[in-house]
Amino acid sequence: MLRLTLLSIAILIIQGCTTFKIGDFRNPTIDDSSDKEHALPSKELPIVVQYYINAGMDNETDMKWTKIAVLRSIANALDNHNVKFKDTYDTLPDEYIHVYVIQDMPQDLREGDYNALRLFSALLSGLSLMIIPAVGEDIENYIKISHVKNDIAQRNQIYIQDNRRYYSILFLPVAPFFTLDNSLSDTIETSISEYFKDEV
Amino acid sequence: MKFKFLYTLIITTLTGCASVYYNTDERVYFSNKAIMLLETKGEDFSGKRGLFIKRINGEIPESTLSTSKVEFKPGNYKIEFSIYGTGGLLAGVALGVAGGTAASNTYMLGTNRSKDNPNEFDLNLQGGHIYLVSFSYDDNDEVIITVEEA
Repeated sequence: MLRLTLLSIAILIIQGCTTFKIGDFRNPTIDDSSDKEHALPSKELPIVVQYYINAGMDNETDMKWTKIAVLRSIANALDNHNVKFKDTYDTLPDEYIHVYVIQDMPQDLREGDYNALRLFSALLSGLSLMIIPAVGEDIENYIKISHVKNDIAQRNQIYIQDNRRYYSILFLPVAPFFTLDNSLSDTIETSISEYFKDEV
Repeated sequence: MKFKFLYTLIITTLTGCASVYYNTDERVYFSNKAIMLLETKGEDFSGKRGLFIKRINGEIPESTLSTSKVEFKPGNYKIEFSIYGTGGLLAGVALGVAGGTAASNTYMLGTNRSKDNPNEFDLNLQGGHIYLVSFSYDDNDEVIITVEEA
């Protein structure tokens, strides 16, 4: 019994955790004073970034890598390396592109989140020594992009993509390519591409 | 022992459901609701501390609201936040499941609630907007709660 428990724990530690997109990429209309008819900003403007996640912001190691992934994906998407977090500026530029990256990672048992099904899949996964995938939490990425000129946001848009985590030893070989940061980078790049898609 | 563990897990799952919707529902379009995200610090092993909505317009919400995300109809609200804490797996291992639960409940319902720290905010929540609630500690270990519009 002890051997089986230890083996389960060892497998649990090395199992693959993967994050996949679920649902459509959404670009909802927001009731806002900003006007989407405003001309698109130049991609060469400075880019001011903010990041928020409702779980684990105090984990400095994880945050360091996530923040690097955020900066890299924005720089790649815009081909502009003047990308900095807002708290590194003493004075904000007069005109800039503001990218607010927000992640909703549930830390509680929310109504309507199929908790019973998740528990059942976790038990089934445990009993099968992590071969049957366990369904993990749903993570919602919100990307808000604004063109700010003289402290006034001229063109605001929010983009949303849902992701779900799965846990299984079968995912071990692909786990490095489907991390939480990979899925976030993908959402950021798609959002920026959508924001600038009308560019002439 | 196995059954007791399973029973505890199932009961926790079934009774621990928290609502994301204060006065909206899942059919309401994004532009007609305000989304509020609440921060949690720590992790399962050593324990977590997080925010919960204690009162809205002076009243305790009828249903248990999520401690990570709550959606509202646009409008003016007076919202009071508070801090909860859980002992984590370490406390669970040290005290046993029942002891750990009791310790967590005491921590959540006792220690922090007795602090005279109202943390009440007058907020004009707008549709299609996201509000981010965070907390930190000052030099005297008092909780500072901030609400920021994204």
